[in-house]
Amino acid sequence: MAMHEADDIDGMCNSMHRQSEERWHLALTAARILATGGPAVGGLWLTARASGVRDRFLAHLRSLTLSGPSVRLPPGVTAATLGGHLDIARSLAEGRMAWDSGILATADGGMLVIPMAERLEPGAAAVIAEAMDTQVCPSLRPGPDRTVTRVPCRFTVVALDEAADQEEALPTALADRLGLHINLDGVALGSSVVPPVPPQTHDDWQSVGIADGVLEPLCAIATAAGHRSLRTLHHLSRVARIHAAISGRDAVGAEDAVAALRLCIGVEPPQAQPKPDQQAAPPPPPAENRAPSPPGPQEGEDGAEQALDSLTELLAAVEQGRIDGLSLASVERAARHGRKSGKGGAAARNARRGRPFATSSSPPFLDARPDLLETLRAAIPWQRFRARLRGGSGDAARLRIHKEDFRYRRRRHEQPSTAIFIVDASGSTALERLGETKGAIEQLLADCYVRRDEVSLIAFRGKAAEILMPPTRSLVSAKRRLSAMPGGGPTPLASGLERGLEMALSARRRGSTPIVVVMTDGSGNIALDGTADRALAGRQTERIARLYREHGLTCICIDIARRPRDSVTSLAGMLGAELHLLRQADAARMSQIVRTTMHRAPP
Amino acid sequence: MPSPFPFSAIVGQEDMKKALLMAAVEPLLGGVLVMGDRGTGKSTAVRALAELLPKIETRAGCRYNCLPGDPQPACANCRATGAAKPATVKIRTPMVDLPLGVTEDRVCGSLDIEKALVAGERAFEPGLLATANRGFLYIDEVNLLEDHLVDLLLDAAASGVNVVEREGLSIRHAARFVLVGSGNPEEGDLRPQLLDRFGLSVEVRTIMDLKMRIEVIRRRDAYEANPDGFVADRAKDEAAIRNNVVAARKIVKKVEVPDAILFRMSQLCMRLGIDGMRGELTLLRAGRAAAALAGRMTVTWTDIEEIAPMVLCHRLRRDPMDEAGTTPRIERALAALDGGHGHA
Repeated sequence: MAMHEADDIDGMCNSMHRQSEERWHLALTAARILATGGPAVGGLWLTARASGVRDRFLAHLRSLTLSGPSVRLPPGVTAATLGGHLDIARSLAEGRMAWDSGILATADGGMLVIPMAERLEPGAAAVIAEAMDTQVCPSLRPGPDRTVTRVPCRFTVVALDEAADQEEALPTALADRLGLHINLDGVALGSSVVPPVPPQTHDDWQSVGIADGVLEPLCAIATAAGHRSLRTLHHLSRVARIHAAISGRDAVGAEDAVAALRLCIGVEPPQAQPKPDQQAAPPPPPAENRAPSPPGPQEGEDGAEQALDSLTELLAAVEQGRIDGLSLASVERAARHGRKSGKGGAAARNARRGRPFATSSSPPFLDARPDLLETLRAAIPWQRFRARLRGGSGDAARLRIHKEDFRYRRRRHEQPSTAIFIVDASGSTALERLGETKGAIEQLLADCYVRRDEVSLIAFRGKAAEILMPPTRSLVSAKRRLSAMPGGGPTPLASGLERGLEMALSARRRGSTPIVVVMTDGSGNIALDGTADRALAGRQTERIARLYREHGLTCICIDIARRPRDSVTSLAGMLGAELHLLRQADAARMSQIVRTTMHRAPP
Repeated sequence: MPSPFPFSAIVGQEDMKKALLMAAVEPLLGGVLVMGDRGTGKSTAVRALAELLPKIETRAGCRYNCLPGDPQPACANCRATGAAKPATVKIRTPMVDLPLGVTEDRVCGSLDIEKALVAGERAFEPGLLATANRGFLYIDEVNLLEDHLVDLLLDAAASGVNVVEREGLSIRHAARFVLVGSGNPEEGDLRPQLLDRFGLSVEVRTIMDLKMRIEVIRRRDAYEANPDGFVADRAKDEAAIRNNVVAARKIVKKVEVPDAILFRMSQLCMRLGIDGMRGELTLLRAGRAAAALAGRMTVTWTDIEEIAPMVLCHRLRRDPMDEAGTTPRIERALAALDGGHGHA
């Protein structure tokens, strides 16, 4: 028995060891391809935490691409720092406009390493993406476009993705343009043996052809794996060609295609390729697979037909959903993007628009405009001293403005919140519940005028939801509208959520932060069109609830059933909401919960 | 810099190509919004279009792209008289790529800091709106652009004039350009007020046909292996499109719209519940441009049916629940209209 267990553990260790070696091997192939293809494959998306393995890999990559510069992007870059900006200090010193060349221009011909790429702002990502597309540095420099010489920048991007949870991901504009995707998680330091740097060979991958017979299944597999972007296809075909070139072939074979699929979209061949009897239970994602190198020497020339079969097999496996890719389909990636929290407050305080409320000596955001008047006011008292210190050279009329004189105007943009209550007015407890909700709304309104917050109420009962109170700030009108509220009847939950979603989105468009409070004790039983179809209603509710999550709305779900029900828990999950249990609707606690959430949102 | 990927070599995406050509024929349409999946050739198409269009005439050194016969008051260069008057030159249709991190100064123009600091002179440094006059202004990822900049751009695009009132400057200059915005709806929406101000809106979806997808890869590879050769091979097709646009520009003002068509256009807009006249007006102009591109002097109902989705789909009231998008709603309305009246 003990022997058996030991065997199991041994087996597990072995498989982990094998996986670690395979991943490392794959990463090495990717590095080689990146070094050969350069900007043609866009770049490498490297999923790995900061570790010795990653450092070793990057060092190896660097040694493969010695020719060009390697630029590491500082965190918090803006478009101005990427594309070049006015060097104010130098301009003033020299008495003419002096421009900094941006980071992108310095990376020309080399590698741009983006650490913590999952934190990159979408705006900055778009600037990088534009430079990758046009291979010209985006210029923010004023002047006639026709006369400014375009600064070329061709670079390869290495994006280090350290995303820890579902909600962090690379900006899609960038992720879409990176051809290779490698995961170094689970690679042991022991496996990461760096091979000697191969002599610089100029593999001519441009002349490697790719036949329709290979390209077609490649296309089909990529599409079946959820990669619909044509860029992915470009990358696949190029990586396959480069792989063929570095393996010394002059046409793309099936093994190159398989390698490209692994390197670009992480589609792993089913491990059973040599042993068909094991195909019944393919392990989930990339557990135990053969290293990518053997196919070459083993299959040789006779492999052409057999290899095409392997592609067909792979396609079938992908279509059946037996394998899934390493990088997620773009749709899912976008959905993960939806939910972002906690950054609102800062943005509102250092806003780009709004009422100016102070000046500061440090720019509130990176490319802020200096406030001319305040800057002069800060500089003037020092003029005499500065002139004396400089030895009285130059004319007295010239202003001496130093770096520390610059003042920036800070703006504050009040971002109000809108609390939207969606209340279940069906069933027996309706009246009591509505009464307490009314109380909560009144309490919220009583102190929200200070913060310019709004509150609104949607109740659902009978056939459809009804907006009992549109977003309002006025306690008086709220009281009038809430005086008579009907209750009882079946539960059109889907309809209530739909109205709430519409209202939340319109509130957001007006520049307010919506907070949706859903109070219900169960699942809906009335569909959107008013029919009593529980199954359809359930599907519709689910769909709408997912939209909440996709739009990243802040939700609170309050379970007011006598006993906690799974349906409310799952609804909260779908909404991405905080779940609270309130056995009895209680105005004070309800308003307390909502107020806490509002205060956590931008002030 | 190699010449961009040729317009005629773009596979599929007929709606987008047609919308861009219509905007090139009739600049008053008010811009094109291209929203859609990644990697569908949005940027490629716009960048290719500027290369394709005929050259425009202006004077050497002009920063505002003035017409040689009609210099603008703001342009000191073209207003020079006598021997100082610069020669007339032909330049490529201006195509301004608006970088995302651009500042308001750079867009509208601002005080020329260099002259102000060095010579103590108050001079205006024209911005990108001046450069884009009589051409195209392209914003990739328009949904990521700061709201106040989008407001400013749309305002200039709609009025055709850029007014600068700041830092003691008071300048007006022409800014007639076709605004082209593109973006990915997954990364954020545009406010409906902004949507409405784009004349045409097309949705591009990634090509799902296997053969066409392969064709895309093949053409792209051929282009990358030898850009100049590829462009040269396509020169004939490019010239055909160019001539078509030039011919259409000549006749577009004279294309007639029968009263019956006008009547049905209004009916369509009413049926769809579109507020304001902008929808109908754009429909009219777009219909003319489409007919002109087809070389006809009269607009037919088929023209309108074809372009109605791109003119109207972004003007409908948005329904967050409607996943199919707004195009089917327009198609239904068109079908209903046909059912009621029969083909004209």
